[in-house]
Amino acid sequence: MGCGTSIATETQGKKVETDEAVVKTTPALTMKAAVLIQRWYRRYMARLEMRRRYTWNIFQSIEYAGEQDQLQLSSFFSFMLDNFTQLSGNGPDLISQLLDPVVDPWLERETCYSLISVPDSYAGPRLSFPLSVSDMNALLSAFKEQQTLHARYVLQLLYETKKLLKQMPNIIHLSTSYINEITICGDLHGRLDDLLLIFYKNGLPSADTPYVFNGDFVDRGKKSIEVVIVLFAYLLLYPDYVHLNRGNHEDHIMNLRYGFTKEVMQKYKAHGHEILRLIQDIFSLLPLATVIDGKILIVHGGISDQTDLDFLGSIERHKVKSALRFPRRSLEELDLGQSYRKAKRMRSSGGSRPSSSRNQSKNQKTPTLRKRRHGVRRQDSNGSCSSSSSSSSSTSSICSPRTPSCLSPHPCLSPPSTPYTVNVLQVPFLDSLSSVPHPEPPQHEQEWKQVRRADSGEFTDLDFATFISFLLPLQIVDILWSDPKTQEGCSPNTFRGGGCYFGPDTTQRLLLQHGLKLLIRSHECKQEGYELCHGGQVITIFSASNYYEEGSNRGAYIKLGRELVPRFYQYQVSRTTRKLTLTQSRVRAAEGSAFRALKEKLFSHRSELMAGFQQHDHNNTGCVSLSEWAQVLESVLRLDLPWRTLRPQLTRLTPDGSVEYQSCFEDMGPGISLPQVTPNLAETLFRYRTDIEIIFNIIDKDHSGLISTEEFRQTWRLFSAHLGVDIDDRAIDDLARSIDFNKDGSIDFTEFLEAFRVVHKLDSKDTHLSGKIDRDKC
Amino acid sequence: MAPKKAKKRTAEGANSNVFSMFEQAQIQEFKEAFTIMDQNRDGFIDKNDLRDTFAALGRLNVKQEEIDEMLKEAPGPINFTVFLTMFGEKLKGADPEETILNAFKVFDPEAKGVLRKDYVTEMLTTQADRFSAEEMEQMFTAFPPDVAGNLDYKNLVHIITHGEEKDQE
Repeated sequence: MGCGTSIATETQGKKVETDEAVVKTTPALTMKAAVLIQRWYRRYMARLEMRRRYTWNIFQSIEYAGEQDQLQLSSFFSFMLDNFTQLSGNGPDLISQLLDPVVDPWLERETCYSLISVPDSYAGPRLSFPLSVSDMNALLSAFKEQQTLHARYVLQLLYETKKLLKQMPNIIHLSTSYINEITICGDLHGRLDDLLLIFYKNGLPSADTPYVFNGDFVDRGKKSIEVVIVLFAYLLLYPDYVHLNRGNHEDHIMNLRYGFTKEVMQKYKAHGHEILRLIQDIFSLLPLATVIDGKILIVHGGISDQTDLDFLGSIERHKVKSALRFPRRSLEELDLGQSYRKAKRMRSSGGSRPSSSRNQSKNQKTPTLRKRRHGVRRQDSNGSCSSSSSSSSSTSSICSPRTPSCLSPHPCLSPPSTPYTVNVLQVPFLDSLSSVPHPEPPQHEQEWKQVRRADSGEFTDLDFATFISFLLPLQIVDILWSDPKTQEGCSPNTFRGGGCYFGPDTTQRLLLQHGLKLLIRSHECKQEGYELCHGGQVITIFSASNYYEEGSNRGAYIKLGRELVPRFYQYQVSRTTRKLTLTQSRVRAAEGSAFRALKEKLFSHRSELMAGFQQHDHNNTGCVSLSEWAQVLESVLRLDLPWRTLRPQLTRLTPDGSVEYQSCFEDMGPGISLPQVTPNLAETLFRYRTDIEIIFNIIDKDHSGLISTEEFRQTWRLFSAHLGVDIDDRAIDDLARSIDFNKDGSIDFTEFLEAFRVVHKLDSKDTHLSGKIDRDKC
Repeated sequence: MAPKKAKKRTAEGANSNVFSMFEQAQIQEFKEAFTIMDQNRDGFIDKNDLRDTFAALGRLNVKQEEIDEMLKEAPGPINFTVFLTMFGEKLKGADPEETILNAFKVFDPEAKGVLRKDYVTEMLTTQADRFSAEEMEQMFTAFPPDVAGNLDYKNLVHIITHGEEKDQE
């Protein structure tokens, strides 16, 4: 659109006229001048708007591509499971820690936190339970002054929160008859400033000012732990007036990747581990949805054509830790030994499920109501999906509700000598006293390769079920991950790798089905902090302003009164003193950030891109046409971005208009000089840096930052084998040796990762390495 | 920024192949612009897209009639081809700095280099392709007049022209 290449058209004529030394101002001339100025200015604004929009596109597509990588990581974990025996001595522990952390019985004891002593020198708030308003004020003041709450109080707070949440149903029903206007907030993502701004504008939570927080409290922002402390504290203080929904980031695997885990370990070196474990439990205990006056449904992500609120209300949500999904294997590969066959025998078919009152779904304490998922998804070689169902016998034992602590009394896996694979299992469909028939899983599930949960329930001596304790029923994935779209229908959300894209018809149907009139959800960043779609039946509310970059977007919250008409309130936290009133500066700042992220993407796919370019450049001129360049970029990166428009920021043109394709890699380089590392290896490491970091974090159980050279070797070999990247064993060994800087057999993997951080050579501001790391993570 | 030769303008609605009006590379660029405008990616620019675009440009209360007028110019729903016909010509070009300066000088015959804020307002909101009040305010927010109410138009033109140039580096 004329970026830099001007083609003056109608202005040519005017130029001559107005160039006269003596300007006689006739009305005609005045008008022509005015038109010129108006058009010129409007075009400038339009170009700015365009830049803003494609900057937005860049951020979004990179963000979602990152989330999609999650699948990559998941399949690697399953690969590790398959081959865990190779992780000498580390296997079962490693996997069990990942999938179903053995809950420390220590943590369940009432007084565990009270044994932590708080030194007199601690100047932060000392909370007393039950919390009072003055505790809250002290807490808020402390956080405003950048103080940290002592681990002892954090643990106590978390323990109390967990106790409270256990009593809550999956779906919370609110009524405006006894509550005034309700305020609904969207994603916060660790932005304490935004939360404080909302409290400032709207009032602190209280009986007069009730709140619903719609998930994604953590990750990306730097104050995630403070945000959850504040939210949980208010939850304890006003359990009837503060409500929290679970978001897709309330998930320990996501936290490993997107910064929350790291933040906690940095701020709480001694007790971070325990804090994280408790938080993990709490996350899985968060309610899934809130309904106001039976008319307004609030969930974090969205819905699908399979969403059934009654079913959702009856799931045992606390067993659902993470949205990790494993690929399926055939039933035959499974060899789980005795226990499994025993389970088979105990299953029986036929028999209907006795009904129960709907109210029981709200009371999780009732042992009789435990709905078991029954899902068998077998994928045959031709990919067809069969799902068999059988109901349980009517004489099953009634157990007390399982808390996470007794989920895995033994190690998760069958004896190490028996290799096993993750599997789609014939799950015994145990007794359920719920009358709600579970929905038939849709065909498209196949693509998501979900494994139905094997819930062992009463069968305490069955090993096979206990190692898959992570599985999420599909319904919950949909609630946490789906996005609305304009087209009709419901299709898998390939962008994110989970949940659905749901159309207006899906919304309509669900609302009608349950007598609702509005769906409020979050999950997607919106320019103005909120957005309506589906003819006003769906509202997206997002409360983290400047999410991508300073000035990128506003945050917003909704207020709902008795008449149930939403009112929107917007805000934007401004952190720097730099004047951002000029739109151009704002756009430029965001744009700069977006292009850096984009260039890193380019760099980490360098060899693929070069291969693509060279295919078009037979004579090795170093140039290709603009179309070819754009084509290669899109086919390798798949980000669906306007490459031609972005071209000036990425590469140089030759005088004849073709693209010097190597110039897009020019100002990027590795963090430190890589000793004896082939370019191929370097690039792979760049690309999977985040994944590798997560894996290291898991291996490094005591969070010391060090892993043994042997562990590193094993992991790296596995990872590259899984990726299909052909890495010479010797190259790995050389690499391991070279990064063992002090030659003591252990690798400081923070240093290692630092080496594979992409550095922008022309970045004069970027002198502090640590600052960059934080920025990359959050 | 040497201007290329001005293309011959065909009458709107004429039967010529619109794609032949432009070079391939230009068409690709316009396609990207189209996609940027088509926010819901359905392949058409509808009145919502137009209204959103106007709003983003500071014209918040565009009347329905105005949008309808624009849409009426199109023979049907605005897909890319129609878009190209309607807007192709208007998408090209950045005016040289001097041209715009001279336009401002029409209003500043004594060549003082500044214009009074209310004069600028009157000049731009009451004639030709009138600015709305919001647009005017947007300009003054981005380029505030001094305490005496004078707008330094040379500075304004310079910042816009060279600011953008700098961004392209």
